[in-house]
Amino acid sequence: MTRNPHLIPSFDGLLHLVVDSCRLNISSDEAVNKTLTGLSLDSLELMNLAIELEDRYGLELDLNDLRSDSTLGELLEKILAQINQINR
Amino acid sequence: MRPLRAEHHIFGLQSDGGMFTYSVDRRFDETHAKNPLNIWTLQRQVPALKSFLGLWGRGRLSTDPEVASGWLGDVFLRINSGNIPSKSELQKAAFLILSLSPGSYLAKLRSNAAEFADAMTPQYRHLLSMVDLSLPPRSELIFHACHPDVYLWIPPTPERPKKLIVCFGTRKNTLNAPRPLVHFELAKADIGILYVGHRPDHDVSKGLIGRDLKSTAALLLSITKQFGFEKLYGLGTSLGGYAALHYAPLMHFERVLNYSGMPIDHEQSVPRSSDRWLSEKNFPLDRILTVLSSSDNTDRRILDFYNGKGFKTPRDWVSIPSHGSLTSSILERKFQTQLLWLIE
Repeated sequence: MTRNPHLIPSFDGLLHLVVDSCRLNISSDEAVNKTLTGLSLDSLELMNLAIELEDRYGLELDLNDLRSDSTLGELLEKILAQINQINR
Repeated sequence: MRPLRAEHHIFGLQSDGGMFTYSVDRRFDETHAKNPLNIWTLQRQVPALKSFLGLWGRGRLSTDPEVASGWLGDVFLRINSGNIPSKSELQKAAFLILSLSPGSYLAKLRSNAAEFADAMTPQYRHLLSMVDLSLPPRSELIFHACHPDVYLWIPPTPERPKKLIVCFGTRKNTLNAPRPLVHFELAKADIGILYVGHRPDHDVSKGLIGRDLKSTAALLLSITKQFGFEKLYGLGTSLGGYAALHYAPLMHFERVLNYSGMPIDHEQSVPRSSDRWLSEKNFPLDRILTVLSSSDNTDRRILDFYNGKGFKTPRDWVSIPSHGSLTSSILERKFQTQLLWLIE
């Protein structure tokens, strides 16, 4: 795997990555509207996700202001916004 | 249904008498406004935690060695390609891995033992070959890098256990070996573990920073009650063993595992005489198991001191000539038996 800081993932690509790397054991469609609490995604899981995204896309995510009642979809939008901002 | 996860709770004493806490528990934790401290801010404040999480996360998420980016990843890439790094680089890598002890990198170190042969002491090489690294990543001692004053670890059991081991470390805050490394063996007991840390050159047997022995014991007890622990067991190495003996009556330990427990004058490698000692009046001596090395000079002097004080507890012996009798117990395959005695 090589870093590609210029590659911007799609929402669906990111969703599949999260479902796989966090081993959510449910379909992407089911996962996207669930809250982080509902998915048992805690900060250590998110930290691992951030590391994976850093390795793939060369970006350092900061999910400092994330709330436990956020949905996975909202998390992905937040990540995409950060990726877009870095690549702007 | 996702697998259960270990709980991690760290506590830091503040100079004004307050205490900060940080927890990763079974629920979605603190990553919101409820607590100004979260893992993102914490790792910014503690670079060693950021280093640990980077290694821990990368080792866990990917088998692709290139993903283990950075200097340490490069060391292993070079080893794999036959371009062996210099001895000093290997020593630096071994030190980093052993001190932070992320399980996946301990395993890498172990599987490349031949290349790292001259980069570690024989005792560490031996210890690494003996430690059971099968602990799930979420159960490793993830927040040790923060050096908290108190670190409560709870295993991923369906219900929280009622039993808890309270661990006191050496003058250098180790358990004869880095605490996260020994944790791999301790965690096999599958009960709660509370690690009492202390600041550099602070004598934990007199209490944690800003507190005396009694108020520290009361603080630790309040934490154990908060999490529902009912039976407490003490364990300590060297200065920590001596500390465990002093906390035993105050914290009502069921039993104590005392590894060469004494304050040591490290320049002279001799026990420092102490007027503060434990007698049968304070705590039943038959509930203390003392482990000493039969061939180590410091431990022999400790034995003389014990005998002089009438401190005659059940004893277990290791033969490796080292004051680090906990490590020696792991090496001689006695540690798990001693642990079973403790929490019986």
